[in-house]
Amino acid sequence: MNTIKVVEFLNNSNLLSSTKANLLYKQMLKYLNNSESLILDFSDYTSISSSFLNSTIGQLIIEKQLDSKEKLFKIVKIIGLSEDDMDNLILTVQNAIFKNNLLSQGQNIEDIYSNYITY
Amino acid sequence: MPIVITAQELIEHNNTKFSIEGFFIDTNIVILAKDPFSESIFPKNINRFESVQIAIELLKSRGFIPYSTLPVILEYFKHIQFNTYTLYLQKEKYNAKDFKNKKHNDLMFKEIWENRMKQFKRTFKKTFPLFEANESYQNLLDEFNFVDLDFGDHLLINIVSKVKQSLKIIFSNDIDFYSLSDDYFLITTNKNILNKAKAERKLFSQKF
Repeated sequence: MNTIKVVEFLNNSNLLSSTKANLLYKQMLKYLNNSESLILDFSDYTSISSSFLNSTIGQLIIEKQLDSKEKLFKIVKIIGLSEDDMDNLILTVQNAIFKNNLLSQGQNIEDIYSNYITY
Repeated sequence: MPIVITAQELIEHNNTKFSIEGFFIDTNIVILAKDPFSESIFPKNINRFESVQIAIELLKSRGFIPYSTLPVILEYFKHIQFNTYTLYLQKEKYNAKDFKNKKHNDLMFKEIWENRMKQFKRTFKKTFPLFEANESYQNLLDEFNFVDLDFGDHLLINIVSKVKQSLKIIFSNDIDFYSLSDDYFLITTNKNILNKAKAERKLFSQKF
């Protein structure tokens, strides 16, 4: 199974920007096009943002039309994240699966978010 | 009006031009930092969320403590509660009775709610620790200026007005905080506030 050492690959332990996230996302897709699964190793990271998680894991769930976290973890084994960030990841996964459900019903997710989320 | 400062300037000039050890976050900053509904996945939102997330991590990495207050925690809880209900169940209006029912009897909703509450608790235990303020709530009610502020902002301003100098700084993207007293610094990533402050020569870089 291929492994992406995230910090090494991005040459940065602060996993914050969506630009960096996009680089990782493309690499993940590249690996998953050639094999069934990969290991995403976050060892030695300092911080990770929810935007980063959305632009990588969230985007992957939508791209691959996954409908459960079990299906995600079957193709991407995630290691090296702290317990706190693992909880944040679970929320990202939950949000992305919800978006997938909306897409599969033919709904426009941006419209749904605009209509139902208030500040 | 407060002096408006960026996170980068705060780091560069701390302990030379002033001495800051922590700052208070407003509810809009918690929402942008934690992004509980993954709104940053939409390209139109990325900059708004990412600029706050990067600023918070930068400040934390340099030892500044981002304090929360009880009003902010309550407002954030309401944000999560209302929007989890309306978004996930696609309801136009929040219904407290139905929410309670779903939380107990709808397995999918229950799981979603539990994950959100786990993150909620952790947010204010670890990311934004609660600042224990000794407030007289009677005075706070008497002093409430309900024309210019909402009650949560009023409580936050009051807490900040009574803390030591090294904590007189608020991180908010709400323009209401720019139009108040000049007793504190305001960190913001809101371009409208930054432009207004620039025009009125209230930017830190124009003052020092």
